Amino acid sequence: MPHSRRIFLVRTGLAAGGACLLPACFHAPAPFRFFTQAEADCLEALCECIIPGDDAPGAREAGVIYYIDRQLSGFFKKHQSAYRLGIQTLAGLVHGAVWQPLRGARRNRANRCAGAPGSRRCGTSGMAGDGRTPVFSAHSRPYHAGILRTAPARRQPRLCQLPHAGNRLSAGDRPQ
Amino acid sequence: MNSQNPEAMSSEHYNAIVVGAGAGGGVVAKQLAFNGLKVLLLERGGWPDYDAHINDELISQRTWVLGTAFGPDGNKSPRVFVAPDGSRRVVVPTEGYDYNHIAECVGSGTVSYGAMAWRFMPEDFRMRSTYGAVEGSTLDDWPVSYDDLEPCYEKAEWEIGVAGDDYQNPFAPPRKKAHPMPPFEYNREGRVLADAAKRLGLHPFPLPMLRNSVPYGGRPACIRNRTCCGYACPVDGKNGTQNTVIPAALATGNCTLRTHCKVTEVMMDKSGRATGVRMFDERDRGVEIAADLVVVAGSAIETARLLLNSKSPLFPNGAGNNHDWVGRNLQGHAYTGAFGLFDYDILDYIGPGACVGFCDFNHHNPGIIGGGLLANEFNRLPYLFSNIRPPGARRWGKAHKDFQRQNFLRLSQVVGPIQEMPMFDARVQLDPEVVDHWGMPVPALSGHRHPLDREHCEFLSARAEEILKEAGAVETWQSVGGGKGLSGGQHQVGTARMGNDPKTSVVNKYGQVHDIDNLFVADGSMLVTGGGFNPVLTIMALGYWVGDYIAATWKGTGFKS
Repeated sequence: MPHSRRIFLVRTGLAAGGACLLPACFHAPAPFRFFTQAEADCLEALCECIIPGDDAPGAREAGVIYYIDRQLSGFFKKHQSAYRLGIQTLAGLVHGAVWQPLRGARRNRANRCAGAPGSRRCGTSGMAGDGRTPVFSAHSRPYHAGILRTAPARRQPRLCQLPHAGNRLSAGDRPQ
Repeated sequence: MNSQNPEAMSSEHYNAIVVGAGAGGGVVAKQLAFNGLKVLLLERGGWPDYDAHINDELISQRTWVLGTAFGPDGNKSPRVFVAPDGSRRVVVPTEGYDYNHIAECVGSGTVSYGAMAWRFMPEDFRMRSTYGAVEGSTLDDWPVSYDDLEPCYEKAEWEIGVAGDDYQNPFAPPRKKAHPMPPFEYNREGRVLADAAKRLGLHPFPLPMLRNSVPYGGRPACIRNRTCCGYACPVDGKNGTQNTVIPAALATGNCTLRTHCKVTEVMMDKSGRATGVRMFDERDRGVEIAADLVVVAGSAIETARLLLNSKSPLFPNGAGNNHDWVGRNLQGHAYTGAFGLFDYDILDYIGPGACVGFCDFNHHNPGIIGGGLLANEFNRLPYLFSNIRPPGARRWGKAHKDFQRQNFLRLSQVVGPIQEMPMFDARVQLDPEVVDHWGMPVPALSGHRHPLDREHCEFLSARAEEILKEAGAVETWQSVGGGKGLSGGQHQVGTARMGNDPKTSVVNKYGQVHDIDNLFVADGSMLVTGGGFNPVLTIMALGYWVGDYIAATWKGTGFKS
């Protein structure tokens, strides 16, 4: 199909738990309103797992983390503590692992969202690891060091094997 | 919190106060105003505003993760959900099925609905007689028949506006007059499914819709956009009470509409008659307004809540609740069906999607009590689509993303609402602790579905999958509804049941609350059973039925004999 990617962008806008909206990446990122940098790194890595970048933007390139941050500062303020706890738990589960692409191309924000509205690529140099599924390597310096002070050594689950949290909208019972 | 000003008795006096400007209330207000009664129509929401949310999928009546486009405001109107283990928690509209929300605006759900316009079949009014008693369920006959309501269906179809052609549906109930507008043409998906169904010996037909297939009622024809179900119409080509009967009522000069008014109580005197309503007005001031009669039309949950909160010496447990039936039998619709993945773009995006229906599975299927219609589904936007994956498919990663972009136009769903078995313990109560913005106890929702609902859903889903297979889907899977949870969402009905026996119902066949001759109910609450159909046209028909009864028996300041 011609322009399929473009059509995809226009029609879908992605759906990482409903959190991924493209317009967020057309603006220079603002400071976080709720997350600490470490929390944002952790959650962004998870989001990139859900919707990875390929020839179309993934969660990171789309700036999902800013969208979530703003929702948690506004409409979903009541979920702040749940997110904070969830991120801490996640960080504990992946203790010892490191997000290679994250560490490698340490988030050149200016480049990351340089794309003009409507441009075919949203950001050009930020596709760390070329958007491949991120890889964990155990026994490296924990990237979440700022979140958890200490954690016991334990078996390392791969982040991407975490069960999907599920979606509250069930397939049946759709409003008509 | 609300202002604590002493309540002021308004000097206004109306013949009738109608609480709720939705499908039932809008019609009743119009019938009464046309018959010369001075009517006050009260709505807790405002006029719907298309421009406020346009096509924002995450703020719609279909996907409410970031709020509901047409209310209610969760900060002002929370509810309590009581889990089967008895634990209680406060829920807000973004929690969807535990909140069981509908719209809160002039027109209510008729602004944002998909607008299927079904007449119930004669059997739907005689469920107990047709199928016998069902253990564990309060399944019963209605005190009115299809023939009683037929003229009211016709009024609803012509005054509000329905496009359709029932003559293509051999299971359609008898009618005296055709639909006022021709049916919509099938889109590509509709054609493929209709052809497949015919090969299976089924009887496809174009869905009857409260939408303009041609200009009607001074408004334009539908532009067939994809954001219809769950959204307001950008060209006003979808017909609800907000753009038909309510403006007509206002034009008579006999009807006053007040928005953002929250009625908290129907006032009752010592002799057990309604004297008016107590409410908070648009500026949250407590007001009492007197009327000769009151019609409650707040939909199944809010109507039950209002009746329960209207306590008086003769009705200490709420108006019409001396036999503990108010708020019970809360029903909705388990949606059930199947998905089919095609190897070509079966969706051509001629909206709103749903266009072909099948009534082969409404009644007369061995072992099935009631059954339900099937139809192709309304177009989805990306967020809803992201929730649809074959069983076992990854819901994250590249596979998830690839499915989204490759199959967005290749997925068809055949789905329908099952006739649920009413349950005495599926109910609305007043919460003993939590109050809303105005200090009124919030609805506490509890109960669960009958186990038969699941079996019936399995039956209907299997039929849906057969149609999709025959249509050439390369992969199919079922989505079976009817789990154990409480029902009663967008098709909420049943909480002020019609009946001849005051001991086992709340209102009589004319919507008149037993033992309170000037208090009526005119909304989905009256329905004894929810049918295997979207109930809105039946609710509108009942609005005409109740309104005509009041008008016919009204004489000046009271009722004729």
